Amino acid sequence: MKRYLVCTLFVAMGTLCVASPLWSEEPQQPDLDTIVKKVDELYRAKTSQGEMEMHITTPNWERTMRMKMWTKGMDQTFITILSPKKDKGISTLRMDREMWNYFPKINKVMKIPPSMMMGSWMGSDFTNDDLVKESSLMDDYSAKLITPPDAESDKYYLELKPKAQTASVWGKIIVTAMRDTYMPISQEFYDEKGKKMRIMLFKDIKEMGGRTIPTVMELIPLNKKNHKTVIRYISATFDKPLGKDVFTLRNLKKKR
Amino acid sequence: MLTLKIAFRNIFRQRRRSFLTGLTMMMGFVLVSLSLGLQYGVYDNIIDMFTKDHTGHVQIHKTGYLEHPSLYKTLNDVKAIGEEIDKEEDVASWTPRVLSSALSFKGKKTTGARIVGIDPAKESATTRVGKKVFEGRFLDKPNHEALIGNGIAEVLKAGVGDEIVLISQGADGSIANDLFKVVGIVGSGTDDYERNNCYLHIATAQEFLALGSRVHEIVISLTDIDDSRNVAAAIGKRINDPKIETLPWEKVEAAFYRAMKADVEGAHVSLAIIMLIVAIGILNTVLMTILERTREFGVMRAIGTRPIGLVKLIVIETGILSIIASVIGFAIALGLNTWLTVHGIALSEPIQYGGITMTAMQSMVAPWIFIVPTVLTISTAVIVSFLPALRVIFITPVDALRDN
Repeated sequence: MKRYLVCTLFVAMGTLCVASPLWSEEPQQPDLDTIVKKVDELYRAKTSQGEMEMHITTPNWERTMRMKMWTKGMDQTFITILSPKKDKGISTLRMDREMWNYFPKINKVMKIPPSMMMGSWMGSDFTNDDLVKESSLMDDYSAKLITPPDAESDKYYLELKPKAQTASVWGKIIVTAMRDTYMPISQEFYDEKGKKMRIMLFKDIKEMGGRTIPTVMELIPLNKKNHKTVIRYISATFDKPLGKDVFTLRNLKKKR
Repeated sequence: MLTLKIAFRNIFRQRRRSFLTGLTMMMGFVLVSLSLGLQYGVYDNIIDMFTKDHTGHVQIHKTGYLEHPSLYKTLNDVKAIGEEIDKEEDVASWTPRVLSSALSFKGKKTTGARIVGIDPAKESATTRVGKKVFEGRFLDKPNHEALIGNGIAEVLKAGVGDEIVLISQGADGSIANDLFKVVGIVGSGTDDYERNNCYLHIATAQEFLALGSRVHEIVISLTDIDDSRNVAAAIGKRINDPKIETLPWEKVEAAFYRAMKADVEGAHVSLAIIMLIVAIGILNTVLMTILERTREFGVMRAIGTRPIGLVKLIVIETGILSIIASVIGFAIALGLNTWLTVHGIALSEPIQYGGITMTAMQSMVAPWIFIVPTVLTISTAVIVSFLPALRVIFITPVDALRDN
């Protein structure tokens, strides 16, 4: 990192000397780690809780679900569905590497095996992994700054490639973030063969619960026609203390 | 005519000879008639049982459903389609169905299940599902009751009164999950078709799978199965929608139909052999009787009978005999075929064909089962009698008289 910074500094100074009268803005060196960490922790903190709405569009049907979510750090997540009525009470718990779903109507807790982590969560375009954040961009990927052909001057473009030891799903992720706020705008996911598989857009940046976050996440899979899932945050609070029985199997079965 | 009188006289004068000749013809007749009856009776029976089991005679689906079944390929306006079906007078009854697959659970055991949503009343009028319940009872009202196949019952160790869980994909993207009470078990040990079926009331299934009022299949049973193709085409024309296809059972169960056709072709060969044997039998008998009378014909030639007259006489005699034999044969064959249609030949080991179990071979009664043997017997006899008749013409009376 340091060497990289020093090198770019030299190049920058050199270019400055050459084109100094034409230079209108200073080249900022983004802290890549900070940007990646921001994406990872966009909606997480020590603890977080929020209510959101998920709207799924497919060629055959459309569905809107309302749910409540609690998180603790990066490893613990609890989601319960509030509406529609027939899905009310269906809950998902994730602790470290394990994940369970609970269906109140049949009173069944079903463990989700790692093989199903990339399966869709409740019929949406988000995978189980997405929603419970099994993988961490910080831990599993290494970032590189790039400038794509259609780059906009107010954005940074990071290319994330999986680290050698990790078993990751994506061959490459391109993160686009605002230069001034480091706020992520979009993520593009590529498979190992370099094919663009899906796009995640972050929109409607607002203040919520003391943070500035994109309150709308739009996920568009590129391998399925006319599919889209939009998550809209209705409310969120961060770092409020949570009871220790929130992330338990017993909480899954609690009557709501 | 004189020839006729002489022919009749000859027949009744030589009663034993006529009787024996006629007996051969008659037995040939009965044999052919019985073979035809049994062969086609069995086929008709198989087809009838097969189609009544669950296929029906005509089926309606969203176009493309049969090749690639999907939860989303539905018939959306059942009422309108039903009205078009009812306009056809050959329709005996029809019933709608919802189809999907699910996982069934009981305790720690789980197995795949094929959900079939049916209208109990209409289904009973159209297919035999209602009669295949061998434990418990058939479905009744649209509450959370399930009729499970013996395969599911075995794996889940579920019996009547137990509660099972079904999980599937809803048509609105939700995860369909609910509890159902087993009220009956369908399909006995050898019934492979029902093994993994789980019947629900169609309204329950539609709610479970979030289908609203949509269905996947409409099954129609006709008054006459042989009309299946015509009626299917007629109904298809009435519905007049390229997105809906109406097919006769021959296309729906194409594999079974092709297998049956191949079998029928094989049967044709064996029937042809039987008819050949009968023809040879008749030929043999007629030939012998005529050759035996060479001396008699020699006498007739000697007293001045024209050769042509003699040929006519022989042919008419044989013809009359064969007609009498056919008439009696018809009576016997009719009786036997009718009895076999009702009672059948009990098989020591039930035969399985296309998923249907047969315990007896049944015959059938239809005009052509008697017309074919009649034509065969009479024509064989008459044609066969020509040959020795011609020999009689060419022989000189002297040599004929010297015969024997």
